[in-house]
Amino acid sequence: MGAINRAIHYLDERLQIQQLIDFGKKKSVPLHRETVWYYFGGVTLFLFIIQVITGILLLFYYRTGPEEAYESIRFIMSEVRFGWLMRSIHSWSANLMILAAFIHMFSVFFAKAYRKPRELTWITGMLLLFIGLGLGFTGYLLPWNELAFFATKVGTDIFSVVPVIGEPLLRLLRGGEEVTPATLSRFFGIHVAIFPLLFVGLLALHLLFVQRQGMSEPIGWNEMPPDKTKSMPFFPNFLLRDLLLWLIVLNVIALLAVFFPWELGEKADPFAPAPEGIKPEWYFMFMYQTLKFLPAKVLFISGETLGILVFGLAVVLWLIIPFWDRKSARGEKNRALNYVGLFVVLFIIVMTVLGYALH
Amino acid sequence: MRCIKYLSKPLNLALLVVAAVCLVTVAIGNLSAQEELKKEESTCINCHAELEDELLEPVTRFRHDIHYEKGIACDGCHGGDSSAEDADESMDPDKGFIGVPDPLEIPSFCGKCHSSSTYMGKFNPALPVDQEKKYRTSLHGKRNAEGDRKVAQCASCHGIHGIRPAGDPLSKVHPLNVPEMCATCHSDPGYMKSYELPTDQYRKYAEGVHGVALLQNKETGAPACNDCHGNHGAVPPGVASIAFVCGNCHVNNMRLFNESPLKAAFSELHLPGCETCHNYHDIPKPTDAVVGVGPESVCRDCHTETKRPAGYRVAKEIRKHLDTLAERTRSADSVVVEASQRGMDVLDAEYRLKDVRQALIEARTMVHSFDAGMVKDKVDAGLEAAKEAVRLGEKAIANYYFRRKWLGFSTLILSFLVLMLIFKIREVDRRTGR
Repeated sequence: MGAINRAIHYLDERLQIQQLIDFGKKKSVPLHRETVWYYFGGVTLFLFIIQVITGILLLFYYRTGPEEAYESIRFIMSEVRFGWLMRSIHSWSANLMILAAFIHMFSVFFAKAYRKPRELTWITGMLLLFIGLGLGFTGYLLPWNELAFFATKVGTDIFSVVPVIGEPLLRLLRGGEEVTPATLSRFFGIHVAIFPLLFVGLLALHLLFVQRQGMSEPIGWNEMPPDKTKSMPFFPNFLLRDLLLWLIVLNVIALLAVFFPWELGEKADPFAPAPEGIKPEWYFMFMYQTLKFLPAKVLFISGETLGILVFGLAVVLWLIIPFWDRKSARGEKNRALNYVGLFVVLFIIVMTVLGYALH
Repeated sequence: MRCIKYLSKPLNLALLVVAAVCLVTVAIGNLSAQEELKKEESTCINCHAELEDELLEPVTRFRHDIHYEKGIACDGCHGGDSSAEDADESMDPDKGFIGVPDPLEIPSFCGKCHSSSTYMGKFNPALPVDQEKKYRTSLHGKRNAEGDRKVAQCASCHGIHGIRPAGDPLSKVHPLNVPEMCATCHSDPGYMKSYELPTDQYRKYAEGVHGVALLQNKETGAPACNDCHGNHGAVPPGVASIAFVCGNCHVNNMRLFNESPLKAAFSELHLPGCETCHNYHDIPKPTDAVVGVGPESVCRDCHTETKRPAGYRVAKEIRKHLDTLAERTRSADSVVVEASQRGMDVLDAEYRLKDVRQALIEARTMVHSFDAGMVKDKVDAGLEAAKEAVRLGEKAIANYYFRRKWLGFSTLILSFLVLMLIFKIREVDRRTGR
C-alpha cells in the first residue's frame, strides 16, 4: 500500500472520506458542443486563488496612508525580491478574473443554467461578481496614484446621483465629502477584509451548490435518448483539463506581467488639477460612457440619475432572472431572452469600445 | 396672537419670507447705485467726459487708476473743488486749483501725499514713503532739481491718470514692463543726445541671460533695470559696487570671489568684479567654454602660457574637472534613461542623478574661488554620485534581462507540464473508455 493510500485510509478511519471520494467518482460532466463554457467557472476560481496568494504577499509590504501607500508600492516594485512580479500578477489577474467571471456569467445566462433548481447558485454567482467588481474598484485606489485618485473621485461621484440614499452613501464610501486619506483607509479595509470575507463565504456556498447539483445540462438534455447524451467523469478527466487550462492561464499572466508590467504612475496630489485621460477601469467603462451620452435633463430628472436608475433596475432584473423566466424553468427554449442577452453583450462591447475611442 | 396664527400657515410664512428677500435686494441695489453716483458726482469727470481728445483722456484713463479706486477725486491732486457744480468754481485758484503741474513740480506734487506716512497709512501702512527723498538723490532727481524738464520724474515711469499698482501686469512699472518703460527714453538716441549716454542698453539687455529670462520666459524673478540700478534712487553702479549689485542674487559667487586671490588683483587693475568676465547688460548665458584656455575662454584675456602662467594652469585644470563631471553626468543620464525606457523603476537612480547635477552646479559656482582644489572636491562628490547612478541604472537594465530570461525558463517548465498533462489526459481518456 502506497503512502497516499495509507493517508486516505488514515483519514477515512477518522473522517469517512471514502464517501466523498465515491461522490467525486460518480460526478460527471455532460458532453455537448457548449461544454467548453464549463471551464470558465474554474478559471475564475483559479484567478481568485492567485489574487489571494499575491494579495497576501503584497500585504507584507503594503502600508496604507497618503504618505506611505504610493511609496510602499514603489518599494515593492523596486526593492522587494519579485515584488514587481507579485504586483503585476495581482493587477493582471484581477482584470482577467473579472473578464472570466463575465464570460462565466453570460455562458450560464445563455445556457439558462440558472433555471430551477439552480436559482440560488445564480444568485450567489451574481453576488460574487458584484463583490469582484467592488474588489477591483477598491483595489484601484490603494496605490494612491494620480489616475486612481481621480478615477475614484469620478467613480464615487456617480453614487451621489442616486436619489435619496446617494449623498449619505457617497459620504459613507468616501469617509467624508471628498476623496481623502480617510477614503484610502476605508477602501483598504474593504479590499483586504470585508470583501474577501464575503467573497470566500459566498464562494463556499456557490461551490457547495455546484457540487450538490452537479453540472447543469442543456435544455432538452433529459428528453434525449441515452445513447445521444455523453458525459465525462469529473474526476480525473474534467479536473485534469481544468488543470491544463489553469497552467496556460498562469503562463499568460506571467507573460503579461513581464512584457506589460502594471505601471504605478505619478503619486496622487489632491490639490493638483485632474490630469487628462481620467477613465474608469474597463469593466465600468460601458456604464460611464452611457452616462456621458445621456442628455443633462430627461423630462424632470437629470440624465445621470435616470441612467443610474435604469442600470439599477436592469441589474435587479438580471439578478432575479431565475424567478421570472418561467419558460426556461419549464424546460422550454426562450429565444426572446436570448436576444435580450445578445443586446446586453453588444451594448457592453460597443459602449466600452466607444469609451476608449472617444477618450 | 392672530399674527402668529397667520404665520403658522406655511404658505403665508413663505410669502412673507419672499417679500422680505425682495425688499432687502431692492435696498441693497439702491445703496450700490447711490455709491456709484457718489463717484460720478465729480464735476470734473462730468464735464471732461463731454470733452474730446486730450481733455477727455484723463477721464477715460482715471477710471482704471488706483487713486480713483481708493476714492480720491480729481481735487485730491489738482486742488479746487470737484463737488462744486460750476466749472469755474471747481477750478478756482482760490480753492487751491493748480491745474496741470509742471514736470519740475511733479515730485513734490506726488510727494505731498506719498511722503506722508500718516496719510498713506490710511490706505496701506506697508507702503514706503521715502520715494521722493530717494528720488532727490538719484541722477534723475538731481537734474530735475536743476531745472531739467526732460528728465524722468514720477509720471514718466508711473504714467498719468491711469496709474496702476506695480503688481498689476498692466502697470508700466510691473517687473515685466520695466525694461521697455526705461527704454522709452534710454533707447531714444534723439532724446538721450544731450546727455551723451549710450542707447543700446535695452537691446543688449534683451539679448542677455537676464533679458531672455524676463522678457521671453516671463520669469519675474529675473532682474529688470531697477533691480540693479535701484528704483527711485536710480544711479549707475560704480566699479567698486558692481559686485555687490550682482551679489544680491548671486550670493555664493560673490562670496567666493571676494575670498579669492583675484579680488585684490582686480582691485589693483581697477577692474570691476563681475562684468570683466560676464559683461553687463548683454550678459551671456555662462557655459563651461568660458572657463579654461579654449578659444571662448575669458581667462585667456589675462592669462596665457607666458603671461601670468599660474592662472593659465589653474584655468586649464578647473576646466578639465568640469568637463569630466559634465561628461560623466551625460553618460549616467543615458544609462538611467535607457533603464527607464525599458519600463524599469529607476526612482533611486534618478535621485542620484539629481545629486550629480547639483554637484555640477556647485562645481561651476566654485569656479569663482579660482581654486582648482575646491572645484575638484565638488567634482569628486559628483563623480561618486554618478557612479552610484550608473550602478543603479545598470542594475535595472540587468534586472530587465533577468526577468525575460526567467520568464523563458518558467514558460519552458509550464509548457513541459502542459505537455505532460495532455499525455495524461489522453491516457486517462483511453483508460476510462472515452
